[in-house]
Amino acid sequence: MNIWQKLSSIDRRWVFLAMALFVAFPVLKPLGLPVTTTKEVEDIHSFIENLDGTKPIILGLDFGPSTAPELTPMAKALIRHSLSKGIPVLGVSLAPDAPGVANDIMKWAESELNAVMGKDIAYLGYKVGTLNVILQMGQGISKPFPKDYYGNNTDDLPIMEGVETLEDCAMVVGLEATAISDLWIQYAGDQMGVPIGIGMTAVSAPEAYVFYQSGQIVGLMGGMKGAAEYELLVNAPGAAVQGMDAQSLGHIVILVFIILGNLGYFFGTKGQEISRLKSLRDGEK
Amino acid sequence: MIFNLIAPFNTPEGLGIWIAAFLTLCIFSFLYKDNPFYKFAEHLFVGVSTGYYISIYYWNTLKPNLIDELRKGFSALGEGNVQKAFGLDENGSIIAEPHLRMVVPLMLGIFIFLIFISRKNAWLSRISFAWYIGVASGIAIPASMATRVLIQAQGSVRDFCIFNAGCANAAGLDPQTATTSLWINSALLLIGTLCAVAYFFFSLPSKGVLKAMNKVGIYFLMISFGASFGYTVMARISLLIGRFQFLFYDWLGINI
Repeated sequence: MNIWQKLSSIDRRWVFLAMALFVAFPVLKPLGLPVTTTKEVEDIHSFIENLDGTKPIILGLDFGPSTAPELTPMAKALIRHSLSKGIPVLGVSLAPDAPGVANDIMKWAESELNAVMGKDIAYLGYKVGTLNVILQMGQGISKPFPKDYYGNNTDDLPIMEGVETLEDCAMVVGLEATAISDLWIQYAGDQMGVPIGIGMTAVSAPEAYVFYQSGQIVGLMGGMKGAAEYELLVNAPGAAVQGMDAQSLGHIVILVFIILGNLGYFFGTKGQEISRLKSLRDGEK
Repeated sequence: MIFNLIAPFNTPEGLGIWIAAFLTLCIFSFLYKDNPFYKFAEHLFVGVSTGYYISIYYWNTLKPNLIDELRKGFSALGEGNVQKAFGLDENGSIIAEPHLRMVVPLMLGIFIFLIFISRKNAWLSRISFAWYIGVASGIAIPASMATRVLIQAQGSVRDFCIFNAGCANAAGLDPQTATTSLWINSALLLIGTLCAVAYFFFSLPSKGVLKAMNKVGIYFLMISFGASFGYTVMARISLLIGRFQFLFYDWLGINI
């Protein structure tokens, strides 16, 4: 067995160990690798930057704990930016596993940013029925959400002053782990004309680029990289920027293993073929 | 790097962190090999998820939309107010609260379960499915056509508009942003879209121009699969980073 064949048959647990080490190291000791911003993230930032603060932003917190490392930093950076511009943020959830994470984010905004619950920020909770909820919000936000997550009457919240339907909001930013972004774009965006920004898990982000290119959404944040970019744009590096070093090293490990695996496959197979031909020739002699 | 105290065991939050850390390590242990700790965490996850979703759907849907409405309806019926019981006002007009009208969706729901209960009456489930599919299609098809086909078709040539001042103004685009790189990008997008669509055109033999377009289409598709793979890798590593950040920062109390 030559070295290439050995490489092809390496125990996959060595790959896991290498990945764990290279991801854990920068989490413990950040390397400070540079992170650059992209136009699709800058576009969401500049759109919010140019809002006058008279209308709230709807923040679709449609993700649960399984995708929180990617989407929670986005939510925090967006809330930080909006509140710094005096724009109220109205959180809603269309995913059933979202309320726990969303509540943590709202509590974080209360304690870290001194946001006043009900006035600067509000969380209306989860309502089942995704599409129907969006359509109902087009008729009146309090229709699907008569009470907020904490049991207050939605219409009595100071943040709801002058806000009746989705069209009274400055924009919707959907932070999505599933295809709920499609519904925000189809119904709130294309049908009701509300500007849409999308933050997605990296797995789903490539599908959303078509909507950015066609101008159906104002901007797009994809995965932890998108979150890190937004954190940098609001000058508040957080968990996502911290994670980008580990992300970069993790990608390098995978690239190295892809290259080694392909070399092993190519040279290993070729080596086997040559050995087979040699043994045939020796047999003939 | 400073080590603070590991998360305290004697507070609700600290206990939660310890449980989460233990379960995280149980799941990670599968990377070495299958074992009872992994099985325990896996089964616990399935059980807790099921319980959570049942509870969410009961309190969010069944109770407020069905049980409470029926209770109010029967209560009105007991008071002899038949109109109110069926969600009608004094003039016979429909009010927002449906009360006993919810019997109709309840029956449609029961019909679906007949598939599992009674083979003889299983045909009734078709009424429920017909209604559901009809409503869902009616809502979804026009919006999907507009969002995913019509506007996307416009989008594939939209950027060319910038190079003509009149067209740009009509489309709400800024002619000042017209650059050579945008022109190249727009051309690539159009070529890629046409060739990728041509790859899925099976009504003509792949010869001549169509064969060339198919070949170019495959390259564009492969690039798109590569981009998706890269993003998927990023997503999975992000989840690992999230767990490591939790274990190191929240559980072990390491301050960097």
